[in-house]
Amino acid sequence: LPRPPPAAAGSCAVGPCGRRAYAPPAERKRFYQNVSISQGEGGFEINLDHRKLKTPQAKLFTVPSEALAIAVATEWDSQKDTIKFYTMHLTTLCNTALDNPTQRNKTQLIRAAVKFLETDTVCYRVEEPPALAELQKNEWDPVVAWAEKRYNVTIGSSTSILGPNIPASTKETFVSHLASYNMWALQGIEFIITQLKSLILSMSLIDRHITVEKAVLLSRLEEEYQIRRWGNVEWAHDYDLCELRARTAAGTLFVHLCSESSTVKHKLLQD
Amino acid sequence: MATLGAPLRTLRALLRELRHAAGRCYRDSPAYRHVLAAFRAHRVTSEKLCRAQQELHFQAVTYLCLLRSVREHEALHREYHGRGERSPQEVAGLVGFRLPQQPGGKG
Repeated sequence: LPRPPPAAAGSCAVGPCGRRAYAPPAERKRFYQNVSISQGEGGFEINLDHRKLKTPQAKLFTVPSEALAIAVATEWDSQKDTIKFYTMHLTTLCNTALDNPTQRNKTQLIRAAVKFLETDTVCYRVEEPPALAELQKNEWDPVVAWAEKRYNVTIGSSTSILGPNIPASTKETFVSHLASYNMWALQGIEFIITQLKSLILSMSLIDRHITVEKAVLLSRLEEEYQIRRWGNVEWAHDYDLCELRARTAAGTLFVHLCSESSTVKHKLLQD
Repeated sequence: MATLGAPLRTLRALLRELRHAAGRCYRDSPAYRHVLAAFRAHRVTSEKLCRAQQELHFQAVTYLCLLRSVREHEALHREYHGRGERSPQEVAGLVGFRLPQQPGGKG
């Protein structure tokens, strides 16, 4: 059966036929020498040699921010012999924003994002082992308190299996806050929330209250506790850690680059 | 605002990561030039706590985390990830056989 093209595929679809189920897909070799950026009508475009990069749905790959275009170009340029799409997180995010394959509008994205609050990681507490409960209290309480203060809402935490009881006004506040972001940034925000499994940690990251490394650490708090207790398994724990860090960092950068508008004001030096 | 450390340290680490990512002519890459230009542009400011400066530094730290984690993830993937099944040709080759060549295809 022909295999569907990978998520971040370039201009041509990859479809080797007659492959067996467990054989790895044939990797695309790097088919371009130079990667450059050009400015088109809709924004900035990526050129692989003389060809323009396209999304999986064959739309022209255009991004609104030059810094984002440069970062995507760097991703393509850093591929050595084969193209490893699983390392090109910014490209994937841009493709998702351009194609919108799940065909969700702004309201649906916001709803999906705020829905995560009901099962937010930092609100779900254990009662035992006591060391872990203590760790959760010390590490997660400050973040929840910050979010409550910053957004003027009540969130709280819970040890029950049903999770915290989030008042409707809290959800309303987050809905109206997220509505201030544009569609691209919202795709990024929803991506970060899905990775970190927490709306609060994601907002904390987007508001620059914590770094990516810290957000990932807080998201994986129980895992880190168990690792410290039972030992680290490099091919599983470190692999997941690096992947989560990469994706979260890509999401955060994507959101910031899609929602900023920088102006440089030059002050004249007065002698 | 998160505690980010010294901007100079971030800049040096970021340029080092870009060097790893780019290869030989890393100094001409658009990313290298953009990062240097951005850091230079935000260096001079009359305010003590410049918000734009902090935002740029946060972006730089985030990009550094991205480049570093992608590199480490790829290294782990190379080392530990399975290579998948062998092809029928390779399996036959294990015991010294070769698959028959059928010009018309099977069946």
